[in-house]
Amino acid sequence: MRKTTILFIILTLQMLVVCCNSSKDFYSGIEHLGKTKVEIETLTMDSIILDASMTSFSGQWLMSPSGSRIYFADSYAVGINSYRLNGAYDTTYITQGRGPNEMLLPSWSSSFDQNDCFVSLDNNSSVNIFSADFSTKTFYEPSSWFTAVDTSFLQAEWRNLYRNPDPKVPQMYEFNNYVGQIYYKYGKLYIPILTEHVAYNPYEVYSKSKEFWRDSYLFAIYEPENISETLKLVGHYPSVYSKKNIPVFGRYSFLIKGNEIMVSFNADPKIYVMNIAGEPLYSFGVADGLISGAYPETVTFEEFEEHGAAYRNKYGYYDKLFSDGELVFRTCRLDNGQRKLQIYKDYDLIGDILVDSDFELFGRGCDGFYYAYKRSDYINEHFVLVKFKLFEK
Amino acid sequence: MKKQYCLKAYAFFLMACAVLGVCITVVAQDIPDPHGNFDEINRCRCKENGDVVGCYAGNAISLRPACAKSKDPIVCSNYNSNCTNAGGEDGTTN
Repeated sequence: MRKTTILFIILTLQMLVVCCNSSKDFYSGIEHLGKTKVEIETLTMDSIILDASMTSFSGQWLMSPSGSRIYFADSYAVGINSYRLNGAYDTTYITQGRGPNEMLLPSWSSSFDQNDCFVSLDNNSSVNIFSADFSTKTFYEPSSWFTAVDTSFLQAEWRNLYRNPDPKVPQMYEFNNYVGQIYYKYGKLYIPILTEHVAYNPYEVYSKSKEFWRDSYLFAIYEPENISETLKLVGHYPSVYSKKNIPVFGRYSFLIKGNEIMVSFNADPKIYVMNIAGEPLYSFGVADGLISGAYPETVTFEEFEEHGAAYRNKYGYYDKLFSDGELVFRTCRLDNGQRKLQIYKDYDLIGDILVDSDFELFGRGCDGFYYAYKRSDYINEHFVLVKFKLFEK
Repeated sequence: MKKQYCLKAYAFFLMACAVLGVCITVVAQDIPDPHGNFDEINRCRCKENGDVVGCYAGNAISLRPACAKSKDPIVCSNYNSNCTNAGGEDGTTN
């Protein structure tokens, strides 16, 4: 009798532990900060026209560190086009080649570090770090774990990883091109990552998608000179993704602010903040009433590919983050197709503004104006940007 | 006596569940090798970048169609045209 009772207790406890582990939330227990104190509901925007005849229409917008130039990093042709704040073309930095002020392939994602150096991940996943004047560069071949060019990871290890997926193994991951951001701060690269392992991925419910949402990592952080000794995988998805399989809305946007990583997910109104070690600290962020979150589930990769674009056009989601000093901005797509800009100050929502459908804020100029992409004029080969000021009567 | 029997039955049920779970896991992990082999460790995969599908750096274990693979380093974007047809470079997904 006594033995049986002990066995009963042990087994029940074991089952409880398994159940608790399977439903753990990485962000549980952290404090949610901020209130809704909206004081900005409209903005006066002035349009700026930029010549697009020498570029493709696809690329990334950046504000120069001095705030005096607008940069367009073309994603189809090598080069960073520089424009004055009034929209006049200035010059082009970086030409095609292997030289000190050249890149072999177009930039996929880029940003500036704390010393105004331009860091760019090219279309072949090589990292190029240019000096502030673009005259010299440091080049890093595609990171070994990142593109599988790793002679120390032998065929047998690949085969083993293929058969036994493990989210803790860096070789599981690739650059997350749905996120498409890269940062280089104080010698460390911050790269969004995604595993699409054939038997461990977010798309297929029979390929451990639940485990993917719970255990896979969001970021790789490493010093490019010494990947093997410095590489860390940090961050996890919030619990909303464990409740329903919604990889179509699995994208996120992130910022490095001081010693903190801020990340906002498509399907979650909260903006999560973690330290560089990946420990969750707190959250803030307000849900928009016109984002229902009633996303349809997809259970296969084929379903994801077939319906992804249509679902993203039909349902609202939380989108890109941008920060400037004490302000944090976030764009949102509403269920009705409209776009909004949320502005947070000290974690409080102080701005809630309807904006143009492709609006994307990218910087603040030295003239005090914020600059954002508005649309492309394909017929006249122009980019249309807008600029605006906050707190202006 | 009846209570003891129930407890034993419950314990047996839990153990059976555990064994079944392990078996399912083992079966699920028995994945056949991909087309080709893991010698060709440099792989490029068809992925979206914005609205366009192109050939980008990937790894050997991805479920996405391969647009190029080699034992030597590859410039993936040279193989963008392999992503316009479904099924990837060699018609496989690996």
